[in-house]
Amino acid sequence: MLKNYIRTAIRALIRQRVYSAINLIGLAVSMAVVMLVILFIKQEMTYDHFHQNIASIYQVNHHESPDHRDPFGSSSTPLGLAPSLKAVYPDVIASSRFMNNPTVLTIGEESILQDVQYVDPDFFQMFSFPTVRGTSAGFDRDPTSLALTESMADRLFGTTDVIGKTLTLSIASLEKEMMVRALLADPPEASSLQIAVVAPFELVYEVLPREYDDYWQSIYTQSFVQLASGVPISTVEAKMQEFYDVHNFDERFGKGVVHFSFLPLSKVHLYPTFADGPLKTSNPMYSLLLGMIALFLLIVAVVNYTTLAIGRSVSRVREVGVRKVLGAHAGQVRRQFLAESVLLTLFALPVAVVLAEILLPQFNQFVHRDLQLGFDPLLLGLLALLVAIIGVVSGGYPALVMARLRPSQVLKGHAGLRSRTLLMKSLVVLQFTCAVVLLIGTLLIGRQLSYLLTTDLGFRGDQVVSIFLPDVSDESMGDFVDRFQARLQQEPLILSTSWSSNAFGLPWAEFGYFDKTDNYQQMRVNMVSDSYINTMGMEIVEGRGFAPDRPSDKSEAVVVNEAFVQKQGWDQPIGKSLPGSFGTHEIIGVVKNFNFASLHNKVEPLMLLQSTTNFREGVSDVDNFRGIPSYLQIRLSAQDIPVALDRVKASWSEITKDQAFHYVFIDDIIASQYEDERAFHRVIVASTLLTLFVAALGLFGLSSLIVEQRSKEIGVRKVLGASVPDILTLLSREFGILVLIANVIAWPLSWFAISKWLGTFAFHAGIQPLLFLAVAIGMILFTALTVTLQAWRTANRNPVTTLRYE
Amino acid sequence: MIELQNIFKYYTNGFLKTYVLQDLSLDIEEGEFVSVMGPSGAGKSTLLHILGMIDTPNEGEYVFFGEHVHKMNERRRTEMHREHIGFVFQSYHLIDDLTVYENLETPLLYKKIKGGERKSLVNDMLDRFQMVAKKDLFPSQLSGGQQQLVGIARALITKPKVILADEPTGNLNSKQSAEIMDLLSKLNEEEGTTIIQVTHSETNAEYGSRIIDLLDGRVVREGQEEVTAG
Ligand SMILES: Nc1ncnc2c1ncn2[C@@H]1O[C@H](COP(=O)(O)OP(=O)(O)O)[C@@H](O)[C@H]1O
Ligand SMILES: [Mg+2]
Repeated sequence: MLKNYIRTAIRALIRQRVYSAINLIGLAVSMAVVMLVILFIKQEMTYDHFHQNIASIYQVNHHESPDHRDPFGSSSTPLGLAPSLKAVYPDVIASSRFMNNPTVLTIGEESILQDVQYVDPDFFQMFSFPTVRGTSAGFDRDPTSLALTESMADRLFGTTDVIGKTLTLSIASLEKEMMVRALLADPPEASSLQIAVVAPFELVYEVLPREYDDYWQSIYTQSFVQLASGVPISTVEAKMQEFYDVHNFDERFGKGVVHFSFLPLSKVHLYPTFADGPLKTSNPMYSLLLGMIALFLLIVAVVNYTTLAIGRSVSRVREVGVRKVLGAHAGQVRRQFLAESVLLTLFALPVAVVLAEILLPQFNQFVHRDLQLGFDPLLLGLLALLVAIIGVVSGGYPALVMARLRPSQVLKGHAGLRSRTLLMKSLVVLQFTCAVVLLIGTLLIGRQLSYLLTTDLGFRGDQVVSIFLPDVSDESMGDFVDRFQARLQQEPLILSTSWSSNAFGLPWAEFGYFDKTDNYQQMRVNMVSDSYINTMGMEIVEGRGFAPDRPSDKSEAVVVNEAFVQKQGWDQPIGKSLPGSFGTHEIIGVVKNFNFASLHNKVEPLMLLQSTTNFREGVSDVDNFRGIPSYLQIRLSAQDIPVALDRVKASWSEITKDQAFHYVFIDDIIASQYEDERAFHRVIVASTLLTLFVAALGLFGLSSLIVEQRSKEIGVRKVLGASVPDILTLLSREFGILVLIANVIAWPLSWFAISKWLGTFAFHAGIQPLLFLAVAIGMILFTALTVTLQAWRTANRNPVTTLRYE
Repeated sequence: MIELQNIFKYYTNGFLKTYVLQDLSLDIEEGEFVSVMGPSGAGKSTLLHILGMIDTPNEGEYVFFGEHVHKMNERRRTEMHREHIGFVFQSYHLIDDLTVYENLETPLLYKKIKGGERKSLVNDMLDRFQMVAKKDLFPSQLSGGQQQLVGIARALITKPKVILADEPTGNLNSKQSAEIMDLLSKLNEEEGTTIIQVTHSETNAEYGSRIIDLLDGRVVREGQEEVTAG
């Protein structure tokens, strides 16, 4: 029997090859996208699963909830936490810190700036990063041991035969000769801990004093602990408060202000407590959105199948009647039609796999992944399930209807199933709702992105490069920066330079202080050189900027932003001082609000100054503060930026004696802040195009069926005097109305979704009602065009040809 | 064994009720060979559809081998189609996507006849109808007469107790027609198959043992065929 079903199915598919092709393409495209999304989501959900100890490893997170300010938290923890936990609790069988720090590595004459991961000896027992060659065992005894991943070894030494080779590692004033003791396999992509060059954490103590181990109010590093198997985390958590209060040496923090939480390693990637560290984290929202997009595309393709199957039923109902008279049960008829849809889906599967393979590199580029489409039992199982579900859902309704047909209804005339029933209309509306939601989403996200990249940020970063300055010791630092700037000033193509302690795109220092009425206040701070405002192209709206020739400006002058003035409620800020109990200082100017961080963030009160000496007193807490010149901003002449850049590089080599040169354009920093959004935008643009394509295919097929079925009516109308445009309008109107309804349904849906997404930005382009209207009109025109293409032939046909056979 | 009691069949169009069959009662015994005659539109096909459980009457009782048809559920009716009724359609109604061979095979598949037996039954039929050379053709590749032959073969292949044939020879030449009528007579005589045929041809009607004349949905004349010398 099954053979008979399949035979009939295949022949029916071949006989109606245009519709089969439409369905095949639609299903294949949507299944290909579903496959890619499954790959993505599967990777997201199995991050870090390759670690054998995943069930017993936890990341420690730090929380502060002081009375006077908003709670604060971080995945960064005190220096002494991880070792202490292991020392105090027998249940903690291993612990390791993980600090990722850009470090200069020198091999022979070559030096490069590279992220180095500093870890404790337990690290390699806790985490499953297998050693390919050498051993990671020496890490606890010898602080000059180094481990490299294969690709890093290849990059640094040009070979993976690196055991016993040496290189020099420099952080701050430390220069250390290190020996490669272990060659590690490259970590899987789905690892939230990305390792490349692993060094003993002991080295950190050659830069930071060991007493910092007892500074529990300062946070430095990620901490991981491994519990004895079977010990629930609650046992350690319960003892943590007591532990902290015992180790809380700082009286300024009352008891209970600080506490720690433990996050299972399996959640670190997708559900991080705080996504602020060096770990690769991501937002489950993107998995959800991708899933939704794939689902929408799938709905469109499945609805195509259903509506076209019902539309074509005319040619099949007679067969059903005959089969029933020959002895077919309703169930057998149902199965026969299901076999047809499942078969078509099965045919679509290899096409989908090939399509997925073709789209994968593009998709990987869009989402910044390196996903592989390999043999994977889980994926295979999901695909089988997908085929079954799509086959049954798309063919289910036609099969049910067919099986319910009474032979008497269909064996006499050529009555088909009516293809213009409420259900059919609803399906078409559903289909277009999906397409319109995606389309509106795409357009609004596109608008927001161009807004993000083109809106006035309060400074001009297009010709400005930023260089991270080497962390040389304090004494020589000032000298180095001065020499470098002086050298750059000789270059005609370099307009101005200025150092700063904090960089664009990274959080600026934050000072907390108590004002005269004992209210706690916070402000952002950047320590800069006098030319900063000028170099960054910021605008002074009141007063003046720093004057290079006034010595008092160096220590006493403060420039605040408009947000600061507004927060204080001042009319006349110039000459005032800040409301805290700081040393001598004076506000000399107000700079127009600017966004140093991404537009996800509000503009906070902020001050620029050249030295923080007079603010040592009066500040109650400090975050992200680097009290030294750390970055140099260089404004290049627009005349010839590449040459100007070459000059900067040449000057750098001259001054640093050929240290590696790393620079970044401020505009690139700004753009990179929206990398997630841009990646998502590329994905949604592509999937919207695919969805529209599949929907158009369906519309094309359905309208041709309907035109065919109404050809007699069209003939009659023409005899009665209808013109060709009259006929076209008649045929388009019906779909036009459905598309309009779909738009109206899609409006609140996309409005809701988009305002949620826009809500993640402090600044946004807003939602334009006109755009919704434009989409509706566009879609209706698009529909009319598709239908017209189909109807043209029929509308122009001589009525005799359609009426003669009656 | 086939009893129709006061059957009414009508179609409503707006307020208008058009009767196709009016108060029709009929008794047909097992093993009879009945010919139904009447002008076009008299309701012959409708009657046959009702007898074949393809259509249902609006009023009246239909008893098939002691069983009330209106009390049968869908499953039971399917059973009847599978096991007891062979139907020849006026417009053949072959399945377009199946070859001649497969069309003949389909009722056997529904009857769950095993592969080997099925094959021999189908080949038998192809032989008997001289269609062996055509077995792999699709209906669209056959002439009207050939399609009709396949339709008849398909109805006979399951060896049903009752054969309902709606103008089975309408598209055949007189030689073919006579062969088919002979075949039906033989089935009737040798296997005791009950046969009810619709026909316009007096000649064909005479193969039966009884003629029922329909006019506007009523039986106008019903009688044992007197054997008249040709
Ligand atoms: N579905 C229907 N709706 C309305 N009238 C019908 C329908 N089917 C058949 N009829 C009418 O019933 C009458 C009898 O039809 P039918 O049984 O096919 O006649 P016959 O086979 O004797 O030529 C005809 O007048 C036909 O128009
Ligand atoms: Mg008829």
